[in-house]
Amino acid sequence: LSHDPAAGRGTALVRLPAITWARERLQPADLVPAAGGIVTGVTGQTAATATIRWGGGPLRLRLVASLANAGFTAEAATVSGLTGQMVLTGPDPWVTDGPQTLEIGRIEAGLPLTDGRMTAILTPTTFDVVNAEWPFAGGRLSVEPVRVPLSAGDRRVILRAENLELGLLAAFADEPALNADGRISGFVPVVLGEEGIRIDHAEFTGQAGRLSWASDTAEAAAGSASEGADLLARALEDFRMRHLRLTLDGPLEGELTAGLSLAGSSPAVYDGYPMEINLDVRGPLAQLLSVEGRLFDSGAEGFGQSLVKEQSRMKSRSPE
Amino acid sequence: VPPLALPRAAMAQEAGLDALKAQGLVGERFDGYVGAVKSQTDAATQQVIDRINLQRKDRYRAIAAKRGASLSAVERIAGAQVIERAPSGTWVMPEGSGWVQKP
Amino acid sequence: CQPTVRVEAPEKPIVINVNVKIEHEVRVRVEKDIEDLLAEEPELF
Repeated sequence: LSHDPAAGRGTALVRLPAITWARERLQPADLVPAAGGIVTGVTGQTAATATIRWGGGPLRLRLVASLANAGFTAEAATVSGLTGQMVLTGPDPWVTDGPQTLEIGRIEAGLPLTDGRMTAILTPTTFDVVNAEWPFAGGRLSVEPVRVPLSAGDRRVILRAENLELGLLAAFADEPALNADGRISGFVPVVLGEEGIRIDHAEFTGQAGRLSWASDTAEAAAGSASEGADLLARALEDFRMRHLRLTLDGPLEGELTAGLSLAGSSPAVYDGYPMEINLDVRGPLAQLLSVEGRLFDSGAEGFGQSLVKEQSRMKSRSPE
Repeated sequence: VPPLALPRAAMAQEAGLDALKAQGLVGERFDGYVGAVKSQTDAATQQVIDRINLQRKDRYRAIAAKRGASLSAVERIAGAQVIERAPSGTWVMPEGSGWVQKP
Repeated sequence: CQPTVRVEAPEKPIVINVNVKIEHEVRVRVEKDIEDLLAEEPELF
């Protein structure tokens, strides 16, 4: 503490004790009741040292807050494994002292995003993401640098997906029966809205790769009555993909719609005759990729094969 | 200085929800959350509503993650169960309807 | 006669469209989880 009475100025260094938050024990709402509607399920340890300056105008604070494996649930998402230090000056307004970096152990967002890291700047009116990235499915998800207004209303952030391995994406499903080599990349526009986070027409594309669905339901469907199911099952046992397009749209924590279209061929179907397979899947994000288990059972509502009939007609016309 | 670990002042808050329900100020909704039955709600009541709803969302999200279901599906299943178990006289909001008192 | 040149259209691909709605069978398990939650944390309900 130092104070110069003549100039009426001084500073003080205040070391706030490390606080251990835990479910069923200390929560911010116990200290500040209104916080109960903002964050709950707070865990981990937080500590802070504050340097207070006074004299010549309003009180100025420089806060160095450190988080150790902190976690919380907010309306938008549940986050854990927050570790790092943030330096803030304020109040009115609180701003960061330059870019701050935090490790984000896990975000529960329809799918778990783990081992993330974000560098951002808090300005009086915006939250500027300098960089944020997560390893994901053998590839990477990263946020394009963006200034997110602090004011209410929908805010839009573009996530970039690079080199996601199809095989690892399929591993999110319960009983993965898809093995695939081939990678997809694309962009995921995310809207942080009043109603929660939603994906706004994400699109991924991928080049050549091989796909094989070796699930018992696929075998059962091969040779089944419905020609579509039979063709699809045989094709998917060994599909040589020339091009893949995947679209994704809907609320992150609700029911989304995924459109997967595969262009390629399979040696098992009319010895490599070109095919186009379009899957339209609706369901929770974590289960969209367990589609292969449901492709051939009751879950598959509609089988449309516009050209199958025509193809078999052509085959019958060609001279035997 | 050992880390602060105060016991939670639990009981004082919990009584809030039951009392607010008994007074017809707060009701159960089809989406698994509580809501203010009256159009004007005082700050203290709104604070209990916000806190309870966020704690419920915390638990629902954990169930959704564990089961691979969507949060919205878990919310609706919870809403149906809570409304079904609510004692008669409780204000409830079934889907697509306003507040009604459970018979 | 003039030989007619017929340009063979590129082979039309076989197109297969499938619609799948994932009605996850976890409903029963979620209902059980909710029952446990109501029992374990009655103060939230």
